[in-house]
Amino acid sequence: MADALYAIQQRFLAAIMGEDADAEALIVDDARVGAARRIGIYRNNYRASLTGVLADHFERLHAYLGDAQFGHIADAYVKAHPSTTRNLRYYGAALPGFIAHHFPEDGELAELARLDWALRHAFDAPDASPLDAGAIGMLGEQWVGASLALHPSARLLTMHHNSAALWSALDAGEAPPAPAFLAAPVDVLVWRSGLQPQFRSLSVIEAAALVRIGRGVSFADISALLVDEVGEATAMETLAALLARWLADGVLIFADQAAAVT
Amino acid sequence: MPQDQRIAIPSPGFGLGLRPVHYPDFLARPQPVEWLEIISENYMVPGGRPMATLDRIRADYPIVMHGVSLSIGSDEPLDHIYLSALKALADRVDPLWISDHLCWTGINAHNSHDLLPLPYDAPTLHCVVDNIGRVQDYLGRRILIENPSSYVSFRASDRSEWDFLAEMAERADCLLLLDVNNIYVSARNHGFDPLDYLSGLPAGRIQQIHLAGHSDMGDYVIDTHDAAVCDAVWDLYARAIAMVGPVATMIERDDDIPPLAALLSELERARKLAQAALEPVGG
Repeated sequence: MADALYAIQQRFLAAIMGEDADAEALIVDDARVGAARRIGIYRNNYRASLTGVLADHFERLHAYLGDAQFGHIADAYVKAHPSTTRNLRYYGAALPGFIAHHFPEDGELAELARLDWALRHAFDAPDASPLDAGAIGMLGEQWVGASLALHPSARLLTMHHNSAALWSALDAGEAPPAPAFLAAPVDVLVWRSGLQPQFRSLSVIEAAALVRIGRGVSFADISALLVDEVGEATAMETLAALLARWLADGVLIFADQAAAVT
Repeated sequence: MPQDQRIAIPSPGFGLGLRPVHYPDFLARPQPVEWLEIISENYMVPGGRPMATLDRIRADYPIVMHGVSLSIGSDEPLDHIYLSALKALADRVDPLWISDHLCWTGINAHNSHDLLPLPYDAPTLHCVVDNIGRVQDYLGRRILIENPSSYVSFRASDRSEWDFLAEMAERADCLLLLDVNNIYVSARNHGFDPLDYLSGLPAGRIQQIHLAGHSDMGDYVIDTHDAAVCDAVWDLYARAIAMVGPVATMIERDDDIPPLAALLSELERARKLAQAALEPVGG
């Protein structure tokens, strides 16, 4: 009896995804091309489409490493991580961790990968109307007690290397500076402003405030945090500057909006 | 004969595949296409620029949805997460129609991201017809199934691809998307006559035609969509139109994408060829 379709498909897919598996017996052989070369076309297509999408998703890491070294890493990742996603858009989520594991001495590589991936997330993350002065005004006094959230596109990353500067130089087509370990780690906010993904480095106090907003605290809670951290004299001025920046960036939403989009 | 019945809707004209590199052209001014085709998966994302741009372009052009991940031929239950995302996109876009390929893309939660060929035999036909029925019931409409290009033939196959497609279309009561380049590519790779293929299909179920370029490797041909349509494919297109009548036609380009003007001029060639193919002989 002939193999069931399911068995044929399992065997054929295994031969495409791995070079050890053999599916030539399933295929009509011929003198001109031959079963092995014919299966090889699919094997190449698989590897090329996955390494191609990695180069696309991790564009600045690719630029930093160059074709040869990035290709070597991408090939190894594809071998270690057969695709289990239906949409290629979501292939590569584990690459930053894979790089961190294999290149522990070159910490900027995994950080560049995390930054690329967070920007890719920001590109097509859910839409949500960011808070502006009008929305706050409508709430009046209640505004300071309302539970806040970060826009669904926003991610906070901690950088121990000058990876943000590397990324920016690569993005501008300039020679990147030498990789360097930072004296103190710096948090970076990645988000989408309008339709444009972007990132910026944060002060320690702004990062602390945004981490808390990500957990759903209110503006009153942030005020209390700032009073504790910088003292009452400068807290209000700092707070006003941070709020103005957040509203201009479009990075805040109300927590009940966040619940609706996720 | 049943296969002469016209089930496909009348042609809405000529279109192009919408690609992000051409967004500015479509947003800046009206372009001479009657409709646009999107790759469904590119818009099966939550939000941001892809969805915002699609909404704006949809306001000006009818859209058809072309999927690459339905995997209608996988011998396992359909992926309902995928199907519900496809339906949500269809609800947003209100497309003229929805298509995917006669192929499978993966099995057992592993995905090749390629349009893999099927063995053409009775059990596969049963699987595919059954799956098309479920998808059509779920989406509440007939879908179009496209003939793939392929590089292997399975030993299990006991009939031609065109016989398989013809019986599939009748039994599942679905429509066909005829990729003329894929016929050319597969004819070269497997050594059949493209005209046998064309004449073996139920013409009345062909609702759309794809044209594309390929890479000729000498011993075989790869369907790369990275070049202009070649003369042999143009000839085959004229034959197809003469056999089927007016059918919605578009150019697919996925790599080395040229400026929009170059694709519009290729599309103009399709318009002229179709017009000539439909003129009465000697007229």
